[in-house]
Amino acid sequence: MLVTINRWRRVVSVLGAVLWLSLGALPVALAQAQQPAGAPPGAATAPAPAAITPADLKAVSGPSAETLGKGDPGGALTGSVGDVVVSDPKAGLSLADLVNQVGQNRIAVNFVWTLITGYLVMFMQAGFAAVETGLCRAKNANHTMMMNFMVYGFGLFAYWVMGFAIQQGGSAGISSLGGLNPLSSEFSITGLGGKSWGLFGYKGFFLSGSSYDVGVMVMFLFQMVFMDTAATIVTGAAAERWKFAAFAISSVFLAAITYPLYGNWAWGGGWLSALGTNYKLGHGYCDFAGSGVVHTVGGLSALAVSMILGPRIGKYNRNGSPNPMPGHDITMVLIGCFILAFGWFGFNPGSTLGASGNGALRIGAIAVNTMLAGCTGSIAALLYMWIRFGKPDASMAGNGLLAGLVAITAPSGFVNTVGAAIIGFAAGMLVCLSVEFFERVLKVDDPVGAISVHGTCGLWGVISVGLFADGTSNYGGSWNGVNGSVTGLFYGDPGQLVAQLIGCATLVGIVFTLSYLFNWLIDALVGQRVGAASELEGLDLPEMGALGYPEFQLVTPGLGRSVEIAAD
Amino acid sequence: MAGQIIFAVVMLAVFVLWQLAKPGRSIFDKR
Amino acid sequence: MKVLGLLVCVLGWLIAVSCVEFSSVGVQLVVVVLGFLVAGFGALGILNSAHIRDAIWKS
Repeated sequence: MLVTINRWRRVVSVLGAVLWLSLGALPVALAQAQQPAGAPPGAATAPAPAAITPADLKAVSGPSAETLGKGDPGGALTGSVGDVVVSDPKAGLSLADLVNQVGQNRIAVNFVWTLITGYLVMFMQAGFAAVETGLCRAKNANHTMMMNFMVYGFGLFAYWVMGFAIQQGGSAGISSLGGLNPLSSEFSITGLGGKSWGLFGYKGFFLSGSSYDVGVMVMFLFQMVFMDTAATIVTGAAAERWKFAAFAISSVFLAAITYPLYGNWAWGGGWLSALGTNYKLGHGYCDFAGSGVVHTVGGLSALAVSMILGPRIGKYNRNGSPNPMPGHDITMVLIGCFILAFGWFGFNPGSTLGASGNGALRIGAIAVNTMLAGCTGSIAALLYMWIRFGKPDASMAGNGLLAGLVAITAPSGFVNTVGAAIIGFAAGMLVCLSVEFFERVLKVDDPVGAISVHGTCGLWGVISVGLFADGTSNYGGSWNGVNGSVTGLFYGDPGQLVAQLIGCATLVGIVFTLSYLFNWLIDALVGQRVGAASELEGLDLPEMGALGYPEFQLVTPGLGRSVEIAAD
Repeated sequence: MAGQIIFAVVMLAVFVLWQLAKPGRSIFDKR
Repeated sequence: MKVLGLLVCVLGWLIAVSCVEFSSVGVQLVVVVLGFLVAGFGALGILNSAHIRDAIWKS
């Protein structure tokens, strides 16, 4: 082992700076660890509940129409007993009306929450489009943008036709959205030890029949936007050389089959989620918002497509050394990262599928975990690049933010803020190492780093549930059918880590393989990659028929020659 | 709580030691 | 070679899933990590090597 004196000098100066900064933080964190958990306040002795009688209900009155007609600027009068839906106007307000209204209010709050957060996640499509287009060269701007734009349409269509049914067809029992009782069909086989292994659902094709249901609609929208996040990840890694037609077919495969299968196993009542009930492995595979289901599926599909496509012309020299191919608009990249960070406030907190009941008030903690992990991820990546290359690199800082957000996605509902910060920081370091590993060692060309951000850090997110889950969450007293709170290795449950690692092995062993086979088939039938002439010219004209920047003369650096496209 | 902090510190130490000892390019080598 | 790589991927998954047959959590952890690494080797080692062999930059 040869450690030069120069390395030592640098490490001492770097560590000195880091230790100085953390001197304040560490004692605080350890002091927190020393403090016993605050004892819950002693419950005041509650008086015996009084029974509500019909006479009590009849005695309740609200403001009259005349009073309300004078206006209510303070809001104290609006919303009262008169607004409770009465089933029999002749009989007046009954206890059944009151109780039903409470139930409906809870479901309404949960519907609104799930839908609004779903809309936020949909907006992440714009974020991905901006990040990917900004990291690609200008001559491919139209093509890259259009892949991200149309993945919404292609993915949604395929998911509506069959993807949702496969994923959630057997997921009845989600109480926060009214039970989703129509989704009652799951195909299972007998697996190891004679246990039932759910493989896929078969209810909800075209959202028709009994799945034409208000709760199912909310669930479909929310799950669809998550699927689309996975689908759009692939477009980044395959950019600048992917045929638009091949992208379309590949996206349909992912939306219709690959993603829904793993989604069923993890979220739809399938065998991965049942590892706890079947084999006593913690609470089974736990993935709160989808580091595995969404990001790793997307990242590994991106890896499969990148391998099949091969690297861009000019990316690698004859000796295998890589050439940098910088993106054309770093401002677009960072704006895109902010849009993604904003959308992630829908991604993670929205995965409670409600804001009322069953521990859903944890949404604030989940949101804080999310933002913290993104923050420490960007700091870690920035530090790595700054120390390594002497400059704070903008694109890796953006990727570090995304890496932290990807990694916290699975554990966001189960960890505390210290855990979230650590997870994010580790993801920021991991993404830098992974980008170099894939580029230099494996020689897989990934223009935007999608494989590293979503694949590598997604796997880290899945594993971190098994490490950092602290056992304080309480989503209705159980998770995946196992009583108690999800707990990781550091808080006493090593079985949870085993379940998470089985999920990781499934992602690499089955999901990657399936994705590779589908895309291999597309390559054989249609061809995945564009021709060399199209690639060198830029995909905008040959594939899309229009330039992204028609008024500019574009020069591509780094190829040893200029490729100029005339303005007219 | 303490377990996860100790894990983080250990991982950071392992990373630093690896970068110190690895042949070829390291984060601590000036470019 | 590519098919072999994919088969090793699936083999890794099979090894990982077989960990449920063991009762000790320590053994389960070892087996599942082994399975994960075998699957990773299939994808990034064997399959990727097959692609690098015919890489566009070699011609």
